[in-house]
Amino acid sequence: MTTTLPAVPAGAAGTRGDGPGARRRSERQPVSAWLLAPALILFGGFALVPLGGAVALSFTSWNGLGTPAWLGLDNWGAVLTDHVTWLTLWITLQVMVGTWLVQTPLSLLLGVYLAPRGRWRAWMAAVYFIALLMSSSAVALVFKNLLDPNFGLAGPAGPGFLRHSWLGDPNTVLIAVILIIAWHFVPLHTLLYQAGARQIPGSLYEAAQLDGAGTVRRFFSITMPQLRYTIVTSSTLMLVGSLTYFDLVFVLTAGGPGYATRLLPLHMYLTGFTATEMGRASAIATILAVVGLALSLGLTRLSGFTRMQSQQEGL
Amino acid sequence: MSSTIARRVRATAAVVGVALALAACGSGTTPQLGDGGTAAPGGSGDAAIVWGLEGGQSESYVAAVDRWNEEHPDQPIELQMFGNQGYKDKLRIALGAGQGPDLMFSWGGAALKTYVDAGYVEPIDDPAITDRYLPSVLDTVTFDGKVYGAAINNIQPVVILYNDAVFRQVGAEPPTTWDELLDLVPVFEEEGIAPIALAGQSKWPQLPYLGYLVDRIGGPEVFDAIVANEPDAWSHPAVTQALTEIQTLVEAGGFVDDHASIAYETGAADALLYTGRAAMMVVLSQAYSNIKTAAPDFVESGDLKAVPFPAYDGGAGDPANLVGNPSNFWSVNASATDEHKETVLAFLAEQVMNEEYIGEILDRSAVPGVTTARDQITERDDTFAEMVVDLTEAAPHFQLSWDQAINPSQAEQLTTHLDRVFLLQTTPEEFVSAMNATLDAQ
Amino acid sequence: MVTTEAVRPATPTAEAPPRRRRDRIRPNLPAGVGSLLWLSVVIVPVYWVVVTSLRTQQHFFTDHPLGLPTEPTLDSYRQVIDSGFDRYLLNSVVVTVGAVALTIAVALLAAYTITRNTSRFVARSFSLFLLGLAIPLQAAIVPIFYMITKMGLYDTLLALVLPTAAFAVPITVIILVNFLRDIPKELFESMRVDGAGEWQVLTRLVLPLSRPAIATVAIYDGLNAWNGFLFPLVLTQSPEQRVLPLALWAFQGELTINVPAVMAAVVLSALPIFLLYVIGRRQLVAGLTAGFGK
Repeated sequence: MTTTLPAVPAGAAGTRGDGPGARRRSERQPVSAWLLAPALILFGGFALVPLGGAVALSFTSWNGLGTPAWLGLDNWGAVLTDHVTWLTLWITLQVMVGTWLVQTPLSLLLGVYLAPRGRWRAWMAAVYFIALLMSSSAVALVFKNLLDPNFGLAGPAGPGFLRHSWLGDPNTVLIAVILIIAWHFVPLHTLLYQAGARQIPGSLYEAAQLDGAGTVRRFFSITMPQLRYTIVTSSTLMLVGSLTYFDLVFVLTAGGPGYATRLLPLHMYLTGFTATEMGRASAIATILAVVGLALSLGLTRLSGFTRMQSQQEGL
Repeated sequence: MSSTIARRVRATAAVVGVALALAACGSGTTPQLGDGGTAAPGGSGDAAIVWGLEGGQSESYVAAVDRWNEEHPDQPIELQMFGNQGYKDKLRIALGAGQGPDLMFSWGGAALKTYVDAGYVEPIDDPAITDRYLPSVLDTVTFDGKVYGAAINNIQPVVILYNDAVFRQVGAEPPTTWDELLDLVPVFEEEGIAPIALAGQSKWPQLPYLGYLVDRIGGPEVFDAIVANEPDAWSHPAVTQALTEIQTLVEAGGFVDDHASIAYETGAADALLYTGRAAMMVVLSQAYSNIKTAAPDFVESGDLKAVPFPAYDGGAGDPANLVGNPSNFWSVNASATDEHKETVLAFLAEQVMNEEYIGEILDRSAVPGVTTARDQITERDDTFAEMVVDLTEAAPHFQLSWDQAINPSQAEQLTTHLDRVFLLQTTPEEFVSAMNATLDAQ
Repeated sequence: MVTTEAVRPATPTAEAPPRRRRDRIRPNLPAGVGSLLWLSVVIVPVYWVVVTSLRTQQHFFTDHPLGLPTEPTLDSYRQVIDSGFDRYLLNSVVVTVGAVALTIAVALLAAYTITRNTSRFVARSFSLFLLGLAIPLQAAIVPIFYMITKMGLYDTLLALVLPTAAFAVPITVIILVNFLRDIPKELFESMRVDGAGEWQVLTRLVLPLSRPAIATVAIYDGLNAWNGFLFPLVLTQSPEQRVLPLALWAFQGELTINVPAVMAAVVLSALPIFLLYVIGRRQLVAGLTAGFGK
């Protein structure tokens, strides 16, 4: 890791013996735990408490006006037996996996390609980044018009291979959504991989070249393993983000055609704010939160956030 | 910091500073309410707030508010405009938060009734306001004998708009029965013209098909039973037959190929019609005004014509019945301050549906729901408006658009399932049982 | 197949620097073609946005989508600016700066505590943040709406700042923790030995050292806050409190839509960020390198 520490030799790993779980002989803690309070209050107050509220609301019937009325388990029964709920879960899963499958190789390759310095590459990187600068609703608007089957590029005026009602055909709309999401977010991950690739010491490549390894071999034996943590970080951000792809889909398709792009967050919004069934929407929201929690747990375990190891140990 | 970075930081600060300065200056200006645009922020502190929907006759709302503010600077009104998608959600959220506008825009019907029942809407007693309207128009906002809204735009029955140039090219006549409509499909397809333009992605343009067919086949009693939440009201055979006919039309290729991805808001459906890529459109008469604005030359040429929704051979319903929106309304918020109530009521009496206002609407070939409309239209010799008035006066029954006539939760189910019918993703039987299930919930 | 060319290490390795090895840059055709392909995929929509924003509404449906406008006009831009764009921009700036500042302030304190304090309470709190990482904000929107209303904050910018900051806390804390962990204990101890109090340690040591990481999270959180849509959708209503993403969406909802105007709005809303990006690009990459590159 690069830090600008004048006194410490660069590349030194620093002391890593004490993760938060490590037990030290009890001594006065160097830093007061009170400093944690603001973060806890903010996060607890505006994220955790509302989540609890959502769980509570899921047992009520409420249409947004007046006060909620206790309902017991009715909402849960309705939601869990509604095939639409499971359908939206399935669609969300498809989008999660699909966006990962599309974005990761693309960002990886682009990031590695852009890693070496040079004016041309820097310029390209700047252009690539524009896709991320637009807000999700802007991206949705642009593609909604661009893919208009009558007046956009997906119509008679555009290239033959694009001729299709991408957003209107239930069979292709999900693919279109995944690709548009990728278009929007690949720049972010490209940057991550670019940064990660720049960290790889040239000495590794030189050694490999001396040993006669070809470019492909070098890529798979050196670049990929060295990018392991970047892959984890990027994938974490991707998967975490995929649960919240509300804006883009809402503006692009509003969940349609039919149920084809009704992701779980959309389903929640439509149930709560359009059909005004806040109780049911809260049940769906709870499911959403549970999925998110499971994802968090899985990710932190896999990525070993609690363990700390330097990739450059041994160099 | 290195000098480059310092320079950059200064430059950024300058840009940000300039932006902020501009913003500060900008918010001091009075709201720009020209050309039907969104009201600019920076409104005054204690103005009465009025919510309006963009499109159709909205320029008249703007003009009326402007006139009021000029003549009554001591009782200012601020008009805030919204797009169609999500407006209803927003209104509900606002009312629930105690932040509703003093005058709220609505379609009447069951949705408004929910608010009335929850105590959010105040009746309008002033005969100066209520007496000027056609009774059928006020029906949608009359509950328990009290009138809860004032109509602010035009009578909008759903009709078939068609491109006469295209019809002449093909040598066809506009349809008078459903079967004739079906027969027209292959005729246009051969010429590579889409028979009917449909903005399927918005979903609500699909509703009139069901509304009209059910009415034509089974009469208004069918939907009345549904609104009354009678058990299994959706199982009436007229519903199933209507849905089957719709799917027949879809399968025959009656709709433009990519209808599922066309959103009405982009104006693409209208454009299909006036660019000659589609022959017909079943749509609220409002669209005529929209096309008049978007493609004035086309309308000038006289090629935009209309016929009522066709009759159904062997149907029990009166072919003169109409489906659509009798009007849109402004209703008074019961939680508004007395001052604001006074202001908005005076505004409704004085500026809404006065000479100027009515004249503006008529200029757009639209028909305001007032008793004096007929005479003024005859004077103007506007064929489309005359047709609308004729249809409205002759209609034994004017059915409010279905999604406004049932409560929001049922409406969401209706539009979603109907969408799937159009997409051929579900059968009429499945639709019926799904919608019957929403009745049980009452 | 893609290859990587020899990468200059960011961290100087043990070998002596001066030996300027000439990179054997074999023109990598597949990679070059691929990147150009992606370049066009990125540029075409952007080009379309700009070109459309210059069209007149009448010509929008008749011009070829990728062709140059037959009657170029700046009317759309005028219309967008007239309709209060400057106010929406200001709102977005206020919300973004506010949310990011709040998040970083709060998260830095937390991260500092977590790396230096090993008590169970602190460890549990860290686990809480880890768990909270993937909780989507949509799940909590209804109760948040209820809370904000009851607090009297409905339709204010503060209503946007607080929840946005709250949901950014977990990822920010985690990134900062990862970074702060690498600060060697000796530095802290040497400051302590010199008699520095906690606050001084924070401001003299931690703050300057964590600049790259702070830059990273500022950018990441900033982008999220700038583009936030659901909170503004539900928690604000009047045009005075509207932020850019919402304004864009409101534009498109009009029954008589003006697509060129919407595209002009898109351009104008992306412009500030683009300018900042052009100015601060090196900082951005350096920040992301330091913060994420492990």
